[in-house]
Amino acid sequence: MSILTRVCTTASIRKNIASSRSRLFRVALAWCGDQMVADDLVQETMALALQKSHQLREKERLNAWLYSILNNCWKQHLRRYRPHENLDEQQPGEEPGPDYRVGQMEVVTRVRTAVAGLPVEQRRVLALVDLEGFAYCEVASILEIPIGTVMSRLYRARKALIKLLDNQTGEMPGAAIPLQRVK
Amino acid sequence: MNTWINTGNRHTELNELTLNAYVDGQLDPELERTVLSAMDQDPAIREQVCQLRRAKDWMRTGFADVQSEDRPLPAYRKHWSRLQTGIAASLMALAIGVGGGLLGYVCAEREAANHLAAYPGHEDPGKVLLHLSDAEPQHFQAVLDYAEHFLQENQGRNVQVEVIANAGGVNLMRAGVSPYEDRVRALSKKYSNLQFVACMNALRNLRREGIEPVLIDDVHSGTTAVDRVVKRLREGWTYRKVDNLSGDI
Repeated sequence: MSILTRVCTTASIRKNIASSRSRLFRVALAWCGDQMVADDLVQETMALALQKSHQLREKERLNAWLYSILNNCWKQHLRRYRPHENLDEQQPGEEPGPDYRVGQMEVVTRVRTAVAGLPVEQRRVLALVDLEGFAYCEVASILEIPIGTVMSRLYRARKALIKLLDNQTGEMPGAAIPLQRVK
Repeated sequence: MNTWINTGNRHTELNELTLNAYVDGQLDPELERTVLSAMDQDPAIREQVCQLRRAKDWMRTGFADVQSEDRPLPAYRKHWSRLQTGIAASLMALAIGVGGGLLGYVCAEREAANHLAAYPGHEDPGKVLLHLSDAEPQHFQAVLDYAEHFLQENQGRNVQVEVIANAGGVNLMRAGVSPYEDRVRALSKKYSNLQFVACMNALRNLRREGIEPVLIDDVHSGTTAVDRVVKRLREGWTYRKVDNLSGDI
């Protein structure tokens, strides 16, 4: 690769980082549920990405790489502000309050409220799959968790969402049995 | 509840994870066909898939109109410090190599540090300074290959390449010594925007050893490598040391 090509590639990566703000913000908001925190997370992510853009050798991985950085920023934020929260064992709210209220709200508010009620780890997977369309293996790579964990968290997240948002009971039956053939 | 589907020669168990993977487009074609077939046969599976798709749609709808605040790009520190360290190290080695002694070394280091600190950090990709400081033939070749490749790629554009050699690197530019004498001449003749510069201190050291260096035509001298590198950096040239060229050619 010539110097010229390399410099052009770096400039192109920087441009793509700059244009990723809204998408990063959307996922950050789904993760944290707070616009100001999401905005700070995205700003921090972009600063780190710009600083380390020379380390990215495969331009095609830029998107996943950005979300890896966002994930690290989010984890740091949680450690700083919610150090005692057990992320893996957190369960969606069983209290009648939020469950009752979601029925009264507009769809967008209802969805966001329901998502905010999910455990952090489920939100993380759900947002990457549903909002960004990442493949399961990419999510596993971004979040540094096994693909089976991605699938089970996604399953539980959707099950909880359906329960909270569906007018019917929406209970999704079925035991979690590992899937053998995922792309 | 797990549903068992008869697919002819075997039974496939469909569970919630499979159906989630189906709505996310994550199944291989065979299993996808199995799910489709199951949906045809079983209204309960159809309903489950429908619910999962609806959950996906809820997510998209819930966050569809999210707009981030329009903020300027965050300030960032370019990895110039790394390059700066590398160049400073090269210049330090260079200062030691010319035999200037401790005083020269300290002065060169300080001078380099001062100049580098003042350097604005903008690299002009069209102006490339290639630094060669040893007599390894493969390094000679790498530098010449790189220069030629760059100039060929950018023919007709306003680009410049300068090869600065010090210590053993000046052998590349010595008539009767350089293994690439003809190539250096040919490249100089072909590209008016290519310049070879031999470090004045390295030539002086050769003379001290009783060797009178004769440079190939069109090779310039009259400046030290330290001065030349610092001058070019201040002018915004892109600096490349020979040992990090190989991956880019």
